[in-house]
Amino acid sequence: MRERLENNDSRVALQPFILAERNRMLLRQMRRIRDEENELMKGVAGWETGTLYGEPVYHTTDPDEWTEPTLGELWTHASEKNIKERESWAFWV
Amino acid sequence: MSAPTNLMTLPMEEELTVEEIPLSAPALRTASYHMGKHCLHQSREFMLCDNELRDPRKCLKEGAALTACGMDFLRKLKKSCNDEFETHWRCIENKSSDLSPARCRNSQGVYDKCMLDNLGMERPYNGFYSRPHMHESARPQPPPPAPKIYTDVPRVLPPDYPKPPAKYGSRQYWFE
Repeated sequence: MRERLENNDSRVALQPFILAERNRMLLRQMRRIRDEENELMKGVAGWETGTLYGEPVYHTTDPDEWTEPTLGELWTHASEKNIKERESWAFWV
Repeated sequence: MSAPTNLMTLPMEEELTVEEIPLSAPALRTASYHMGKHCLHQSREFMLCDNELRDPRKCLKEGAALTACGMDFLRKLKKSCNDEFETHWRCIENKSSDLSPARCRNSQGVYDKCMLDNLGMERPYNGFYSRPHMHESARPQPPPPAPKIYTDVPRVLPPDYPKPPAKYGSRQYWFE
């Protein structure tokens, strides 16, 4: 029990540092996929980035409101091999 | 749960470029006890911001301050107690499966003594981080969310609408 408490202490103390770095990585990746999609779909008439021909995912939320992207959305433009590596990453650590 | 549209504001690359902590898990987990104590205010400020606003874009400043504090701590650590620290985290990496310091009390004693003598940082008591705590922040508290107003509510009968008894009795005749 004492050792579990000690381990939990260590994780709790580290979480803010991990979360801060993760948030920056997430925002950077979101900008990257948005730029990629703008570049990729610029020849398609009527296409709007992040929507299906102007049909948004949510109708009731403000477009600037924060919604967490899913793993598949973040890794859309990656290769299949990299996506599979990322998805199974948690099983190897 | 949606991909970013062009209407969404995202921070520029320069705002996100911060000197990150270049350490692996064993070293980080070993340093975390003293590092969390050293950066207690920044950690709490950041976690409070993240929990209150629920938006990573609004807490970048706090996050950058936190990482800078962590880097500052690790520089101090490297300057004063690098050898003790490395012995300790190598021990933890080699002797445990979950990075717990249970089998490394000898090297931990040396490391703690060095931290106390050179940097004046004491290891917090066991359970220090696992306790709930209060934090006074200078940032104003966000207002509670406004109650939702639904416009497509179905119309209901007025309360004094006549309700005569059923003409042919109840349909659920087995209840009678």
